Amino acid sequence: MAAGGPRAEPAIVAHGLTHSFGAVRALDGLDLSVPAGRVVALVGPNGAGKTTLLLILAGLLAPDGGSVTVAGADPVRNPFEVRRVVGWMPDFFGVYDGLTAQEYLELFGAAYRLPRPERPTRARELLALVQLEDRAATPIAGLSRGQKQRLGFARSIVHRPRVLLLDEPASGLDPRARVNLRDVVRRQSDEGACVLVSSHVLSELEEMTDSAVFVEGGRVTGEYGTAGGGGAPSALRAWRLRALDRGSLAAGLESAGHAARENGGGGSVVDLESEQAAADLLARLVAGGVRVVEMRPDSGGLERAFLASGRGASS
Amino acid sequence: MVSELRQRLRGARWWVVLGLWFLVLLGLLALARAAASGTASIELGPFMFGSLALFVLSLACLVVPSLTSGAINGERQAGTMAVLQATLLRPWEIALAKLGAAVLTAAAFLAATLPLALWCFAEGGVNAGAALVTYLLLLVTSTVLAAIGLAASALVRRGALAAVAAYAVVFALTIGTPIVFGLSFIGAGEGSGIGSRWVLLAPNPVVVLADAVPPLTRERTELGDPLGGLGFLLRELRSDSFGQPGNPPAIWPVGLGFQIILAALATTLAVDRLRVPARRLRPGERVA
Repeated sequence: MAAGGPRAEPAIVAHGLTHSFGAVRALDGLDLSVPAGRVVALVGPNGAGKTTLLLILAGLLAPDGGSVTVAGADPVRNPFEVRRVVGWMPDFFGVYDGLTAQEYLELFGAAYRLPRPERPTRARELLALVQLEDRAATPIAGLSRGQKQRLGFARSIVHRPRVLLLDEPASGLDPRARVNLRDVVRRQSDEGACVLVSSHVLSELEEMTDSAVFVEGGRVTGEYGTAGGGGAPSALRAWRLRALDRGSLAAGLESAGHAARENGGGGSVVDLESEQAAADLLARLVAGGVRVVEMRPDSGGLERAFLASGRGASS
Repeated sequence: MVSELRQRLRGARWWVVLGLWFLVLLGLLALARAAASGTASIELGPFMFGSLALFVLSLACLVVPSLTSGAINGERQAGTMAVLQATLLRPWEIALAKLGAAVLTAAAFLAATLPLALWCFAEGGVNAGAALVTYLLLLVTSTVLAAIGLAASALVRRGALAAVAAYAVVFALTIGTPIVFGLSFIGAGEGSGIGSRWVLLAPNPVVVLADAVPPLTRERTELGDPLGGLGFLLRELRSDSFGQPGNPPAIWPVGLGFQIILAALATTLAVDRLRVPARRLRPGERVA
């Protein structure tokens, strides 16, 4: 899914960000660079500093130290410039129960200074995007938690932000809504937006992001799958393979110079550095007569990488 | 814009309060009329209107601060404030929208008393200009009360405590001022005049209203109507300080000025607390 694309100016650059809440050091010299047009996961345990970072990027919280630019502007010195281009969806937020979904989005259209005639159409467009068009006239009080979550997401992109900050966006979403969210988020990035998504549910992130940044203890402890951009070191990604005959697969992998791990499901797992490498390996295996029936990125890869980075950080 | 939203939020409950407000005032006014109708020397219309003005002011002191004392902390609690602050809305726009919504609501409450005012007019003898000034002042006072509630809601995170804080300030104005005025005489030598102590009473909303409203009847007298009577006493009070019984100067400009400065300060405080990016959060406070 990651289509390398031309290397763009980083949409988010942070250097040595620090912020403390009383005695708690939420950010401890965090460095981050996120290119435009990419969806980047912000992964870390609870209390790692993800929400604090997003608050700073959204121009709501001033860091104690360090520098940060979002879409070329400083959120502390030029908060309005930043807010014009940043969409933010907090992990916990409320909606106005007395309004209808349509009115709610029109209200935020006004808050983002959308021209008045544009607001109703933009609201309808967004409701269709998050599959709530049949709820447009329903008071928000009557929406389910997942529907409110989708409405909150629609709200965050009312003004077509160039930088989208999503804090745990998939919580409370059913699988179908999650697929919809993934598609909508991808569409934002296809249109050139930079998307930073935080979560601690790794499987839901993996399906929508190009790469991941691991945060723990207020610092970046590792990156994953960032080969395509940002100048970050490339990371290995696990691929799951299965063939009709297990023996020939193992032999084929060995002859290709890959150390394969056994996998519980009767297949093998290899670490590859790019999709290019994956395609090469597959071609080689097939040419070598291995009857491959399945080859896909391992969905547990992000989780393993995260756990590995956690180990690396604590050792 | 935010104001229209606030209104909607109130919903059905709002109408119940409005109805209750009207009924209580209707009852009080009927009582005032019954009390006065036995006395031949009292002009019924002005007496009733003066009473109505005092009743409305007292009830406004109870109702209006609550219109705003949950406005900002309530949105913080509900997690709706941070997303507003993340938009292009300026802090003062959010604060003034809240204040405006409350003032509009208060205006609706005042409008609900108009039928009662018409009743007073029907009894005859009420000076229409004075009645107009009364309503204007009631609206200004409501704005001041709403601003006090707004500041409390911005400064105090917990809803109940914010309401207590707002009412503490309102009570300081209404009940605190006469107490302080009274206490200021302790230790003063016998026969010492009031001097400039009238200033201690000036911030009181009742004093401002009574002093500023022109006579409801043909002239300001001690008797006649409660509002005019109070105003008459106040002028006497101040004239004592200047020793010029002829044409005593007014107290209300001082009081009203004080109140307007207080409201402006309160609103500025609220705006300041809405400013983002926030540098520092108090322990346990969340932005979102």
